[in-house]
Amino acid sequence: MSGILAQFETLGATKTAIERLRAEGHSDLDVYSPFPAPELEQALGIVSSPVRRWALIGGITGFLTAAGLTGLTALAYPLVTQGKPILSWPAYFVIMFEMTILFTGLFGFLGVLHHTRKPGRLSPQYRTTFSVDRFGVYVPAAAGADQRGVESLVRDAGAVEVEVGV
Amino acid sequence: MNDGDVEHSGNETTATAEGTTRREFLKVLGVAGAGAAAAACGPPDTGDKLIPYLIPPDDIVPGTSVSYATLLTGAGPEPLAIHAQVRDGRVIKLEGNPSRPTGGALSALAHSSLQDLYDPDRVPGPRQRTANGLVDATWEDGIAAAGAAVAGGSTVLLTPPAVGSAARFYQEWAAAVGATWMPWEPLGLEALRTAHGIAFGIDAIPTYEINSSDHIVCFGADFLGTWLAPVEMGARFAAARMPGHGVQARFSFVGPRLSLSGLKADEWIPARAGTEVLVALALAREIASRKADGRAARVESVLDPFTLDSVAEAAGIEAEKLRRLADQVATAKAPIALPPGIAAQGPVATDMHLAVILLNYVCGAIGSTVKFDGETVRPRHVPFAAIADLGRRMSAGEIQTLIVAGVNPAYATPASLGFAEALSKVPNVISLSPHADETTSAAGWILPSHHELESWGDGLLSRDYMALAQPVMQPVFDTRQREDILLQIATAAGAADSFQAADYSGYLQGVWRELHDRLPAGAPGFDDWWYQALADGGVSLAVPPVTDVAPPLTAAAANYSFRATAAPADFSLITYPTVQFYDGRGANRPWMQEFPDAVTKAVWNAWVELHPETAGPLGVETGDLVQVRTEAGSVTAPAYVYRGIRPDTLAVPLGQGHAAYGRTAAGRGFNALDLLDGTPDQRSGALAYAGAAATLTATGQRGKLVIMQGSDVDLGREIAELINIDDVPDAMEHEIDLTTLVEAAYDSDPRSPYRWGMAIDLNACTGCGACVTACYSENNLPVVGEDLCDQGREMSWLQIMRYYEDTEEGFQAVHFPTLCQQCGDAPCEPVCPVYAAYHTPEGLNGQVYNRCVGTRYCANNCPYKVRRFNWFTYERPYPLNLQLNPDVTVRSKGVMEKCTFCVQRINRAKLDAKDEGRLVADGEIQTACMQSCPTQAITFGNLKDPASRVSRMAKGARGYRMLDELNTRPAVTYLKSVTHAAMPESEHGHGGDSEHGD
Amino acid sequence: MATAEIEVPTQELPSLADANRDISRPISTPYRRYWLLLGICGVLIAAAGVAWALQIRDGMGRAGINNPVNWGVYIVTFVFWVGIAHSGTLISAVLYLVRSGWRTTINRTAEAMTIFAVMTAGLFPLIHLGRVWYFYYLVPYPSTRLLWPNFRSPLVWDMFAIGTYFTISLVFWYLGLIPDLAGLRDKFTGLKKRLYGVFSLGWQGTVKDWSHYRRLYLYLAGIATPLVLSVHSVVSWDFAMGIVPGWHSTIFAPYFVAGAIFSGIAMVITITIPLRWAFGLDRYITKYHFDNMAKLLLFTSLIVGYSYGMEYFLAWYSADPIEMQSFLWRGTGFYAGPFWIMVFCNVVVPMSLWFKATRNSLKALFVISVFVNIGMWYERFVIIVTSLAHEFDPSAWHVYTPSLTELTILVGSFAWFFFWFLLFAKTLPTISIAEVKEHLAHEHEHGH
Repeated sequence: MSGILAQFETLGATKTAIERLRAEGHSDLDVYSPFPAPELEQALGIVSSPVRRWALIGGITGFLTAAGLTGLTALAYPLVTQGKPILSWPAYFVIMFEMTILFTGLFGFLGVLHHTRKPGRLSPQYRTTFSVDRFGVYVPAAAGADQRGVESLVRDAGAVEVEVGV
Repeated sequence: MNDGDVEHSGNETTATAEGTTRREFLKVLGVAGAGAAAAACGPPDTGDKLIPYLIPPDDIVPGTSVSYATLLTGAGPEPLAIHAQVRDGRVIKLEGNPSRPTGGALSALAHSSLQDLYDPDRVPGPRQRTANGLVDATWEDGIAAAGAAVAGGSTVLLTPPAVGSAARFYQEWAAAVGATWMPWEPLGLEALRTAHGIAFGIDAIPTYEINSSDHIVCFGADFLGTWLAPVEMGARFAAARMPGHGVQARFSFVGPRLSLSGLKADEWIPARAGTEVLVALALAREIASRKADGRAARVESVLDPFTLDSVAEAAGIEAEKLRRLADQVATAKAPIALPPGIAAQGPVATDMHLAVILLNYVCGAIGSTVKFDGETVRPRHVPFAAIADLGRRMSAGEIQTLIVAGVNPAYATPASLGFAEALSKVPNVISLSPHADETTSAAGWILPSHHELESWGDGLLSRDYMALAQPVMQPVFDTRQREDILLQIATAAGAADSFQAADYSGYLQGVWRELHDRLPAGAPGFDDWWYQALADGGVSLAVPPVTDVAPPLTAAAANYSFRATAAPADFSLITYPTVQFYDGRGANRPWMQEFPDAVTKAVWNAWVELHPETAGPLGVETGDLVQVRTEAGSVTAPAYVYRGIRPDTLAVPLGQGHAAYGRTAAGRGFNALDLLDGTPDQRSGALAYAGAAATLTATGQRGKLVIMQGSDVDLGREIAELINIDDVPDAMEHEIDLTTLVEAAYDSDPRSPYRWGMAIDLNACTGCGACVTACYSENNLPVVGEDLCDQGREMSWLQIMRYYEDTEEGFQAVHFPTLCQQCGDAPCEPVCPVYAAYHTPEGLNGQVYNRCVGTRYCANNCPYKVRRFNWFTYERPYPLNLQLNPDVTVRSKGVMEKCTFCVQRINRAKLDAKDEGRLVADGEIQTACMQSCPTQAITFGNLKDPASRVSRMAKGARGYRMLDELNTRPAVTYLKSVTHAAMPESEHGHGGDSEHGD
Repeated sequence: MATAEIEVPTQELPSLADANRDISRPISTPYRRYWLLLGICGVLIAAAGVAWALQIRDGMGRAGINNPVNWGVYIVTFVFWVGIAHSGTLISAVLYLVRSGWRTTINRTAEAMTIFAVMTAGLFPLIHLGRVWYFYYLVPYPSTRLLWPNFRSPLVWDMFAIGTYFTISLVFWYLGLIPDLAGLRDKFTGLKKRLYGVFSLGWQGTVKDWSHYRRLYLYLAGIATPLVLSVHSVVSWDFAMGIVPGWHSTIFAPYFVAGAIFSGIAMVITITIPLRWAFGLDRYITKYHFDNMAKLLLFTSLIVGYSYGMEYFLAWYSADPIEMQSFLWRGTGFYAGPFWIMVFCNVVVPMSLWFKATRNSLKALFVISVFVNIGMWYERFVIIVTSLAHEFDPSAWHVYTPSLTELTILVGSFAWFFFWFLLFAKTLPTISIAEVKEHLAHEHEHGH
């Protein structure tokens, strides 16, 4: 499929380009940025990431796993030490706390990998400049949309380089 | 025979397992013994192969110890009837014969006899000295050579004092081959005998019944450690000192140095060395003047010159103290004076003994607390002077042949006598000693004899008890019974016909047949009687009791002219025997070298004791090298700064500084005898171990003296408790609630009928260390050596700490046995990440060696510091490993270990009880330490049984728990030590903390 | 050191491209000095390895520890490295949460430090184990005999806390690296490209991806903050849970955490100063950053000093003779030397940071930070060893001096740490390029 890839040098220019394009009805834009840019997320209308659900589930899983591990093994291997009860929850809580955090982090990471489809290959529109200092906006050619309009639009917005039919 | 005591011992359990009656079973033991246990024992098992018996010997039950009753005469001053625990043909543990009055008790030295038996440095077989050193030889050649030598005439046979048949045998042998027999004991009783000869015209050793005395005045005898009968005296002492039963006897110690015994004294009269004789006489004079009875009149003239004040002046003590002591003794109901032991045996030894006898006489002790009832039997021996003379004759070439068997004169006589050189003047020196000691290594022929535990023998334990010694295992090395060797030598010398018996066991039986013949009619036949004797360890003899226990004082004594000893200008030197080395025989036993000296807590070395006031000006601290010089010689050794010695006195231990004798002993410390010129006491011929004039110089160098105790005082932490007798609370108003101990949640499984606990009576503990050595023997504790001890890596599960507690006038030691307290809430348990430390349902702190990964967290968290870590894997050179107890795991590197109240014994008893469908009875389980304690300071039992002895003691008036404020709920209750001395307001010593680790 | 005064960075800010270039410049074929350093580390590590091997063969006796001092240099060094590990996450997480911009240029280094420090610390519990070949007994795995570890033991807590800390720090660090790895992928060709490509997981920085990325980064920062506090608290409980006088104290957790941050910041300074000089990162790590770190150092030093005082106060206030004697001995006894070294290095020396001049002098900062590192090692030594040497029963008192084996392994641990750090410095951007760009971009926008 062919579309238009525009490269920008500044955050502001990219932002305006995105806004105009979306106003024109181009919703499925691929925007590349060399650094995390909340402004662009807003421009693209991205709301919160589902990664938080992963983290929450991870945390709960970790807590329960630890509770099970400590409690059940204590029951399976019930030895008294220093007159402490077999189920010494205050002591076990330390384990639960650590496991909660461990699973939160790991699940979160898996979440990111899942939602960003990593590891994966680079898309044909990716340019190495995007990892240096350029922002990229890719407008896939929608059926019947005029490529020229889009091209002029991004040029107006301040694209320093525009490729057509990529 | 007290079956209650015997129940626990190996034979009972086997009996039940065998399903035979005990009597029958013991006969079996007898048979096995009679045949030198040939079938029973088999060759010593090196432990590297596991081969089941094809035909199991009838008296071996796999996994069960068989106990053979026998007699030990070489372990210290008293003969000990013992039970040797034999497992698969290896003797692994010695215990006192429970049928004897002293029960299972033994001394540290007796326990370590095992390491004497299994000494890797024993002479493994006959040896001949040739141009190129010692070479292996055959028995035949050896016997032949010896026979020829003996036939050559002017032969001297040197042996330890022989008890029973052996004495007769040696005499007959000497007569047969025309030799002279000289029985000799380095730390002998010649002075005591001589003095009693003078005083009462009889040659006997009295029985000192301190148990029935109410004031013990000791003039130097280390009666709890090394003198006369430590094990028996320990029991008597405990009886005398128990508060509760009657009044606790006072104990005053007179002498320049506090020995192991002296440290228990309520009062110390630090008389100058040699002046004890004056003090005794002065006391006698005072008491005589108070009593003014017939006895007093008899000795008035002889005592007259010794006024309190003049004596106090001469002895360097306050007359006031002396007067007070006189008052106390005069008013005492049954006072007793104990003679000077070795440590106080100066150039006027006889006079000193006689003075004490006179004191006993005037205060009426003779006949009441000092009895000539024949209960104490000690074999006669030649005095030291005779040995000195022998040396002279040897140098003069008058001796053709010297046969040494089991004594070591080359070491045990002062070097100044030149006995070692004299040996070279003797054409034929033949050694029958099992050890390659100093004398033996000068011998031309070594025909090694069995160890006692491999030998036949017998001996009188008391007037009316004849003990029997049997081999408890096959010989470890190619050795022979000493008497058999002599028999063979006699045969080779052409004196065969004078003995009808082919070997000594035959000879012995012959003698016993005579005993048997004297039995009244209706007695069992000889065989039954003999096997019974073997099983029981001896027979009671039907001899009439001694009627006259208090013979009259002779005129000689009443008009005796006492010799005074001039106080030396500089220092007077004391050389004293220790419980671990005695006369030096303990020096090659690793257990004894690693045993912390009861007084100094030093290990693996010899030292010079001096008073802080002496050390201070010289700038000497413990461990600094000092030089002690006498006319006889000089030694340079580490100093030990000791509160319990007079500033004008130096003290050094005997028994170290061996040139030969084995890898453990050789080159350790110095031989104190090198400092003695060997002047014997004119009257008795005893060697003057004390009173030599010495000079002291600081070398300014630092030596190495490893002290196994950090601080000597408990800094007010109420660990070792000493209270005045009037402060002992009434048991009624002082009731400890044991529920905190046994019924607390999780402390022990509520369904379990047992909560094991222990009570240790600090008042009874004398620090003799029998328990410590018993623990080494029972629990396979490794010996780590001097360097590792120095690094604080000793492995003893049970240590006796010696804490000083200040009294108003001085100080007193509290010996504090420290072992795992088996806490109810043990701090060591929860910190173990792998449950290697956990709580058993019976309240023990279990330790699973297999599971331990060695984080050492438990040891950090143990407030009592009783856990021991295996920093290395410790080796036991063959045959020492034969002694290992198969019931106890041998630990390897990286593992934490500790005392578990001899859990193997607990389990054994529980199994037996289970077989019989009952609970373990109180007293049925004896931990190794408890069993071997002469004073019965340790009690073990079930705290859940309110009637058990341990429960009653734990609840007792003097009971307290170590560091109780930590709420660890220890299962060990200590009973406070009680003194007659007035205690200061703040009950606790605040002496400087001596940090030996730095 | 190249520069005494931190020179004012060149007026115009580096462009985004500059950032890429400058920061990834060191990632190139190293010169001889580098190999030399790496070699020295290698040799020292080998020496420590031999020492450890001998210790495993012969037993723990090769170390100087004894009864009662069952823990020595190994545990001291363990706690030391765990402490070092704390600044990393603290700087990247806590400062991220409180949006302190100055973290951006040092967080990558700090995080790397964290990871390598944990890798170093993690060795010591093994090294100090009497039977290390059974270390897996501590791991809760279903063994055939159904034996399980004792979760009541602080040592097991330790294992979980430090394990978690390592994992989370690694994830955190790696997440931050991904965009930079992508940058390197695009910069290089051939094998390097392939390698960086693999590790960048095909990152292309679409805004959508960034949104997930930012979310997780925020969460990780969020959970790493309590984690970092918990880890050193748990380590402190190894001691506080014990009854040993001098250990059994409730202030240990905060006291240890403060100490950890203190030592961590010190180590960051000790490392970034030479790093900055060697890699010419003057324009990115500036006076501003060092000033802030110095202030943090000063602040934590005050907390640590307060804790020292508080320990003595509590000992006195408890009126427990054993505690009192124990602490008196700590300052006056056999170990007075280490104690006063500790006080001097951790409390006295850092006070010079009250002066701006000191804070701005790299030389001074470097020296001070090294002092603090030494002081903090001694702090752990004093806490662990002096307490154990004088416990409840005076008759059992015994002192401890480290053995050659222990010291070799101690030195080896530093070599091990710097070995990894050198590898990192040569293969990965020592500053988070993406974050720097974000920072610069806004600067450019608002034209400062």
